[in-house]
Amino acid sequence: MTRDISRWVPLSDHARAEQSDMLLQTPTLLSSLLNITTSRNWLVPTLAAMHLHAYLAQALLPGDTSLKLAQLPGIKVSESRELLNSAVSVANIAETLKSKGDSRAVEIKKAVSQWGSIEIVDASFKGMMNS
Amino acid sequence: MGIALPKTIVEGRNRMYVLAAYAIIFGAGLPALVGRWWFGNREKTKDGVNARSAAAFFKGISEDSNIDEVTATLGKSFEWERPKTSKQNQELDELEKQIDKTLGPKWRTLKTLAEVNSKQNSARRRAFILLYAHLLRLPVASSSLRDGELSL
Repeated sequence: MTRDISRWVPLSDHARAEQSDMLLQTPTLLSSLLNITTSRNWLVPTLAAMHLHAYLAQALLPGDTSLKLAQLPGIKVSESRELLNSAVSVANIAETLKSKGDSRAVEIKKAVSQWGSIEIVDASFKGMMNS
Repeated sequence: MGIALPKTIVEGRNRMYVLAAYAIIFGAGLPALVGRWWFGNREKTKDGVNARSAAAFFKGISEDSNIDEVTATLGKSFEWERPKTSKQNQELDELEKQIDKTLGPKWRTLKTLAEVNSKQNSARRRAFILLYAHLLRLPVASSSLRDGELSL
């Protein structure tokens, strides 16, 4: 793979170390933030903090759903948008790439098999009295 | 029955030194140790974050804060979490230019939300830029490495 070096932003080793240190600190900070929002029963910021956790882990821009496929190994941000536009989804991406002879298909198939899905088996309403 | 003490401690002419040693240990050393533990504990919440970060979370988040506001609030907290940052900001200017190019007006909105001002809060600005460089997957290269590759 050739890399276009002119597009790379130069950053000193010190700043790069600082960035990774900072990112390793985010889980602690987010869980503290989450404690605050959950104790107040605020749904929107609670979900936002939980999502942000994943966005940081995946290095994706918060709130941009067109980048969904960029979570898969080897898929670039720009590719994710293109693939979603051509109606490729998480369910069929491995097949699509395989048919194109893409070498990333094997890894992606593995990742997709672990893709989480939520099944709601029961829901009930819990009333709360606000005085 | 006697206690075995070195002769130098018991000797009358050394009593001023012994007294001074006691004074240093119990008058200064012990209070300093306890004080450091006490105030050091108070600086952090039980979640292990700086108390001022927790205060910023408390104030910054409201019932309908969306993900951008939450990200901005998280960005604010780095000011207290990592106060000792380097002053080399030229490289950050280039990084910010890239972020600005990719995000456009949204970057300015985010900066306003996080109250990032280039003159004040240089620690906060630095952390916020590095955070978004990660979120945007900006390709960063070690500057020494890059110079090396260019000269090849």
